[in-house]
Amino acid sequence: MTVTENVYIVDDDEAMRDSLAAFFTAKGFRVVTFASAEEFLDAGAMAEPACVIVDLQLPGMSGLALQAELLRRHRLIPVIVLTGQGDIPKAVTAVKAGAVDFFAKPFEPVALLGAVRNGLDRDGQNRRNAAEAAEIRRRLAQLSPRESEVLKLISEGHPSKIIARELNISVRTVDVHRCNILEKLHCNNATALVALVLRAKS
Amino acid sequence: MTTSANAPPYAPGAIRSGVENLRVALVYIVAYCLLDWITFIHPFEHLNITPWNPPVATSLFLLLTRGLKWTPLLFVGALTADITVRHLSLPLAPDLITDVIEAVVYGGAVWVMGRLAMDPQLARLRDVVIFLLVTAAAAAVMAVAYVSVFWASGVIPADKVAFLLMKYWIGDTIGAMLAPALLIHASAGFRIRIRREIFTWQSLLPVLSLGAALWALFFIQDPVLGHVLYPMFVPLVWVAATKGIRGTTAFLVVMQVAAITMAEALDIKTMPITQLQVFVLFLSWTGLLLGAVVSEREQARISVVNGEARLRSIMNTSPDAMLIADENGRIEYANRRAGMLFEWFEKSLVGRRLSEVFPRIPGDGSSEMTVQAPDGQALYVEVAKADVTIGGRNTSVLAVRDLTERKKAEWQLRQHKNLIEQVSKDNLTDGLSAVLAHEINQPLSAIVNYSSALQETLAASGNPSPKIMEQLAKISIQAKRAGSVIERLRELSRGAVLKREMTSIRALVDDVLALLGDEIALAQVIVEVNIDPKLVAAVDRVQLEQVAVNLIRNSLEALTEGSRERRIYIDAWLSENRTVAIEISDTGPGIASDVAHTLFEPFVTTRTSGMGLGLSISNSIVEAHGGKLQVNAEWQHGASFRITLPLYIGAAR
Repeated sequence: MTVTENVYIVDDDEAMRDSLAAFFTAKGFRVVTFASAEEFLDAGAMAEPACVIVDLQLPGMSGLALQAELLRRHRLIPVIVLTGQGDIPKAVTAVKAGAVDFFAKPFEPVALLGAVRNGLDRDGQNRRNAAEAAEIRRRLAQLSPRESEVLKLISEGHPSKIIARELNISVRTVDVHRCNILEKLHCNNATALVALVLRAKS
Repeated sequence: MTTSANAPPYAPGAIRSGVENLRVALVYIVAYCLLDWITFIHPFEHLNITPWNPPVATSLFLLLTRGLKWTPLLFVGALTADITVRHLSLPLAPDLITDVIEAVVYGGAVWVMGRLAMDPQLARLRDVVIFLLVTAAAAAVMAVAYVSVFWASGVIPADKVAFLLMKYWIGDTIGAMLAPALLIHASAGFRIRIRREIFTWQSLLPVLSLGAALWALFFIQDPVLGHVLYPMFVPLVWVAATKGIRGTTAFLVVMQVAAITMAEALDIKTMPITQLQVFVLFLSWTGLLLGAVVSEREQARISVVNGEARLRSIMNTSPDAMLIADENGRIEYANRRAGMLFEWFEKSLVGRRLSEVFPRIPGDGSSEMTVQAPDGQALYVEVAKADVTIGGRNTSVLAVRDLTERKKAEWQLRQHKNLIEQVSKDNLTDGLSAVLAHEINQPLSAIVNYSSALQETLAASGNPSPKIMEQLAKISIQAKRAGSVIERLRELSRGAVLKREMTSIRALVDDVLALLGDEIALAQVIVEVNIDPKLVAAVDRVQLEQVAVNLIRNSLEALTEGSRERRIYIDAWLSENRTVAIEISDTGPGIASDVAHTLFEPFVTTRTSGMGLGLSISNSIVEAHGGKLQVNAEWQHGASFRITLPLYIGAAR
C-alpha cells in the first residue's frame, strides 16, 4: 500500500465508531471518527483518497441529509450507509442517490471492507477524472479567444471552409489556428480534439 | 320607583280612577234609590219598613265587589233615598241616626264575611251558608236598631214594635237575597250568560210551572186545603237541581218579582203580603242551599273529568311507553307510544297479559331486558315498574323506554374503541421491537467488529494462535446469530401495510373526539374544531386516528396540570404542494426546551407513567404516509403539533 487510504466513520454510537475504527486500523487504513453529521461537515477538507461510512440514524442532521449536503457541496467522496433493520427503504433511497452500498446492522465487517475498497476505487477514479478534466480546462484556458471560437466550430463538426465563412476569415488562417490548437491541447487529430472537449464538459 | 317619582301630579291614571269612582258612586246611589222607590210598598207610617227591601242587596254588592272603603257611601245612599223617596217626611235626627246605623251594620256584615273568608262568587256550599247566616243576623240587628230608634222618638207605638221588628227583618233578609244573583251574574260576560243560560227553551218549563204555582197560590183558597203553597217548590227544586246556584239565583229574582208584582197589581187580598214574603224567604233559602250543593258536586265532577283528560294527554305525549295493568297482569291502559313500540300487537295492547309482551315479568323498580318481536327484531328496553293501590285494587304502572338505538350506538363506539386500542397495542409492540432491535443491534455490531478487528490484528502480527482465531470467529458468529433472532422477531411483529382510503379529515377528528369524549369531559377541556368537512386525504384511517389520539391525549395530560384556560384547537387545511396540514394545539404549559430536540425519539417522556413511545410511534406512522410530524413553533400559548400529509389524490373541494 503506497498511498495512505482514509476511512471516515460518522456514527453516534461510540462502540460502533470505536470497533469499526479498530477493524479498519488493523486493516491498515487511516481512520477518523465523527459523532455527528455536523461534526463531519465542519471538519472541512480531508486527506484523500477517502471513503465515508455513515449511519442513517443520527441525531440532528440525518445520514440522508448529510449525503444530500455533500452532493450540494460537490464533494464527491464515496458514501457507504449503515442502517438498522427497519430502515431498508431509506437505505434504498441512499443508494439511488449515489451511495456505494448499504449494510444492515449487524453486518460482516469483511463485507463492509469490500465495499470500502470499491468506494476507494471509485474515489480514485473520480479524482483521476477530475484531475484530467482540470488539466484539459487548464490547456483550454491557454487558447486565444479566436482559437476558442475555431475550436467550438470544429467540435461541432464543421469543415475549415465553413468555419472560414462563418468567422469571415480565410481558409488558410483557419488551418493555422487549427494547427496551433492541436499543439496547445496535445492532440494529434480532430477526433481526439472532439473527445477531449467532451471530457472537459463532463 | 323611578317611574312613580317621575309621574306628574295629574297622572292620567289618577284622573281615570277618579272618574271611575264617581261613576261607581253614582250608579250605586241611583240603583239604591230606584229599587227603594219601586219597592216602597205597604210602608208603615212613612217608615222605611216594607215587606221587600232589595236596596240592601246593592249595598252588599258594592262592598263585596269594591271593598269596605266604600262603607261611607252606604250612608249617602240611604240619606239620598230618604230625601228622594220619602221627602224627609220623618223627624230628621232618627232618620240620620238610622242611616248611619245601616251603613255600619251592613259594612260590619261584609267585614264578617271577609273574616270568614267567604268567596263573593258563592262557589261553595260553605260560602252560601255564611252569606245566609250573616245577612239574617245583620237584618236582625238592623231591625232592632231601626225599630228602637223610631220607637224612642215616638213614631212607633209600643204595641206595634214586635210586628214591625219581624216585618223589618223579613224585608231586609229577603231583600238581601238579590245580592247572590248580582254577585254571580254581574261579572264579565253578564249578558252572554243571561242569554245562554237563562233565556233558553229549557228555562221555559220552570217559568211556566212557576206561573201555574203562583196562580194556585193566589187564586185557590180551599177551606180544607188552605193556601196552596207547595207547588212553588217544584220549579224551584227543578232549577236548583239542574242549573245549580247560578240558575237558582236567577230563578229566585224572577220568582220574587213575579210574586210581588202579581200581589200588588192584582190587588190580591187572599194572602197578606208579609205571609207571602215569609214563604218566599224560606223558598229562597231552600233554593240557594240546594243550588250550592248541586254546583259544588258539578264542580268536583268537572275537575275529575278535566284531570283525567289532562292525565291522558300527558300519558299520550310521553316519549316513554306507559302501561297500566291490574293485579292479574292484564293490561288496562296503554298510551300511544306503547302502541308504536309494540306495534306487532295488531289491535290493542289493552286486555293482553304482561307475559305476552315481556319475556319475564319485570320486578319492582327499574330493570333492562330484551323484547323479541315476532319478526326476530330485538328491542332493548328499560322497564320501570311501580305497584300502587288505586281504588283498593293492586295495580302496576310500567314505563318502558326504548334503548335499542342507544345500545347500538354504544356498541359501535365500543367496537371502534377496541379497534383503536388493538392498533395502538400493535403499534406499541412494533415501535418497541423496532427500538429494541436498533438498540441491541448496535452493540452486537460492535462485538462483531471488535472480534474481526482482533482477528486482523493477530493475523498482522504474523504468529496468530489458530485457537484464538477460531474462537474470535465464533464470537462473531454468535453475535450475528443473536442479530438474526432479533430480525426474525421484527418480521413477526411488523405491522401490516397501510390501508389508504379517501378519508374526510373532519369525520376522522370527530370520531377521535367521540372516542375520547369521557377523558375530555373529565379534564374539563373545550375542544374547538375548525375543519372543512369536504377536506379529504388518502390515509390509513385507523393509523392516523392513532396519531390524533396520541397527540390529543398528550394535550389533555398537559392541560390537567392546572392550566387556567383549558382548550384544544384542531385545525386542518389544504396546504401548498398538494399536502394537507393538520394542527393540534393546546393552551397547556408547552414543551420544555430541554426535551424539545429529542421529542420524537423513543423512550423520551416527561411523564411518570408511560414509555415515551407515543410521539415516536406517531412520527413513524406519519412518515409511513410520506408526511411529517413537527412541533409548530409559531404557537405561543402551549404545545402545538403539525402533521403534513401528501394528498395523493386531489382534495374534493
